[in-house]
Amino acid sequence: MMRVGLLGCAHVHAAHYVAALRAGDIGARAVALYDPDSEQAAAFAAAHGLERATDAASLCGAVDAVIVVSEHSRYVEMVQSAARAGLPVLCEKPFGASLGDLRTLLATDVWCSVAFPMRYAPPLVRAKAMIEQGGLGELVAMSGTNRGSYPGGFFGDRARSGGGALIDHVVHVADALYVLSGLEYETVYAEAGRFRNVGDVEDVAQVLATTTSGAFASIDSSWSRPAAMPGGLDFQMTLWFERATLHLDGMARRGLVVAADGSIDYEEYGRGVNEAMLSAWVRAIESGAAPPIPALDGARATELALGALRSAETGRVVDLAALR
Amino acid sequence: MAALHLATLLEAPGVRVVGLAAPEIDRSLAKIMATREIEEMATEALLAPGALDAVVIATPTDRHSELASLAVLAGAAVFCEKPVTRTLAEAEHLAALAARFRAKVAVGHVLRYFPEYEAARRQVATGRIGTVGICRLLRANTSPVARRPWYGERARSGGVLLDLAIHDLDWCRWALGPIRRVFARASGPEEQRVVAVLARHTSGAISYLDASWRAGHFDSRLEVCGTEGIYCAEHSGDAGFCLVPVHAEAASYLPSEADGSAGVDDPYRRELTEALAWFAGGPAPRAVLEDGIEALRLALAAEESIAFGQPVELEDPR
Repeated sequence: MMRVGLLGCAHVHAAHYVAALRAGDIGARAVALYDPDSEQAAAFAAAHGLERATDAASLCGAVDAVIVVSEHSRYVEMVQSAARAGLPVLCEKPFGASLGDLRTLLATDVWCSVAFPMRYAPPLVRAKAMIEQGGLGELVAMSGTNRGSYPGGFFGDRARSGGGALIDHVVHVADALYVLSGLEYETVYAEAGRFRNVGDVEDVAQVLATTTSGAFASIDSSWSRPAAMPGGLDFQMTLWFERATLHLDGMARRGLVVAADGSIDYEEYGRGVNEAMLSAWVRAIESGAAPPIPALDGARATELALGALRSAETGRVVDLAALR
Repeated sequence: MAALHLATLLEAPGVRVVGLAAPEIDRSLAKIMATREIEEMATEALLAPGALDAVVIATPTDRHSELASLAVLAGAAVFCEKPVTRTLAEAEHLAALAARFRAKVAVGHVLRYFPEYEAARRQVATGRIGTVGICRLLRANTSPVARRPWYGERARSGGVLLDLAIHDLDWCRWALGPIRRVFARASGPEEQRVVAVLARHTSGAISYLDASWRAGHFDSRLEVCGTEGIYCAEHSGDAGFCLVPVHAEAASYLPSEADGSAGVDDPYRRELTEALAWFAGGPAPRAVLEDGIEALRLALAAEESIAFGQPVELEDPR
């Protein structure tokens, strides 16, 4: 049984990963946690039955691998702690809260996979296999959405998150399009706004990027859905190819549950994407393989998100090559 | 659109159809003309000064300006299909002429009469969904170019932006207020073009539209997100109805029908009926010349943004 430690627990996915490791037959368990915010650490450790380490180095000494799920602004120090201990890492997205962080993470000598679980969503896996056969022709354009509600916590605090809806959700669709098409991004433009006034970050955002092949790709990453909306989190992509159009819904594998009072909810069925991602991560570590989702892929998608943030602030089209 | 509008005119009380001018008359139009004894006339005769009270223009877009101007000069009120004209210069010329002759010009921005779009605007206007932060729209259709080649000539039709996107841009303006900035991208061949239009309202709200001539069948959607809730709807014309042929090539034996929405909610009949009532002295319809011009300005700003790859700021957004 692989012993997994958490570096930080502020991210909403920390609890999801602990639960997925516990529920699945992945061969790994979350056992310990280090978070510099001791109150936060105590509450999370108690809720999930984890040991608490007093610092990052002692956590790394007690486990076989780590998952970085802290505030975005701490990713660099957390990944570097794991690097010093020679431990394999799963780093939550985005891959850096700033361009500086992104460069530092890329330059860090560490076995690091990036958390893009939507790569494992069955409709995307099926689409990738179909696209690779080549019959659909070149990509003409893509329109995607990854909308949700405001996650709360540090996400609304720019100093710790790096940004709002643009930093939280652009990367998933950006990575999915790269995985499906192999296309690189060239420019990005974005409009963003604050309509619910959560923290000091943008909560609505629409991105319109181009690829080096001349296709366009749009991503709605807004926290536009009401907090209590059943099934509010979405992940959809329409891909126009020369010879066909593909509609993908990464959240479609769920059933509708209607309670006696008429309230509705959705229940995911089948193997979840987090479980599939963690399983692939554990297998790669055990077999000595390369990280399933390499740092460079994390950097590519994150660069698009950070470029979009800059565009929204300056009102200009951002040339992504100029950011490197 | 000509046959649909003609059917409305024939049912409208107090309206007599004097004649119809068209370079080509298709089967559905010919059938109505024969059964209702409508005379085919030359454009010059039809638009002779004093010959009629009102004109419906449903020609290819590049002829709107000339015909609407002639109608105004002839002292007639005008109902013109959208887009109001092909170019902004034409639209401004028409506006000056209409002002000088005090002519009434209504524009066929029919989306304002589609029930799901009326309801969406109502959610905003009544405050039910709070302050709008972002709005997402989709309008997709099969390419019209094979059946009507003039659509494929951008100089004549304005392409997918002036055929499809202009509907939603007009609705966004109507429901969410003036737009001050537009950014757009396009991809694909002209006859199957896909466009993405991003608009910033003076209120701060963001609107985003996917429009394409690349769909297998007509599709439209909208989602409006506000601080107090969201409103989502899909095309009312197909709501609750889906016919799937057994054979792929079955189109030839299936019963033909007009746009489903025309049968139930009649947005096309309502827009023209309101315009006719205006011409007879009643209140103005939902979209008049100024609205047609603003919608055209937005669609052309999107085209300019596509051409230069930069956002376009609208002067004096209205």
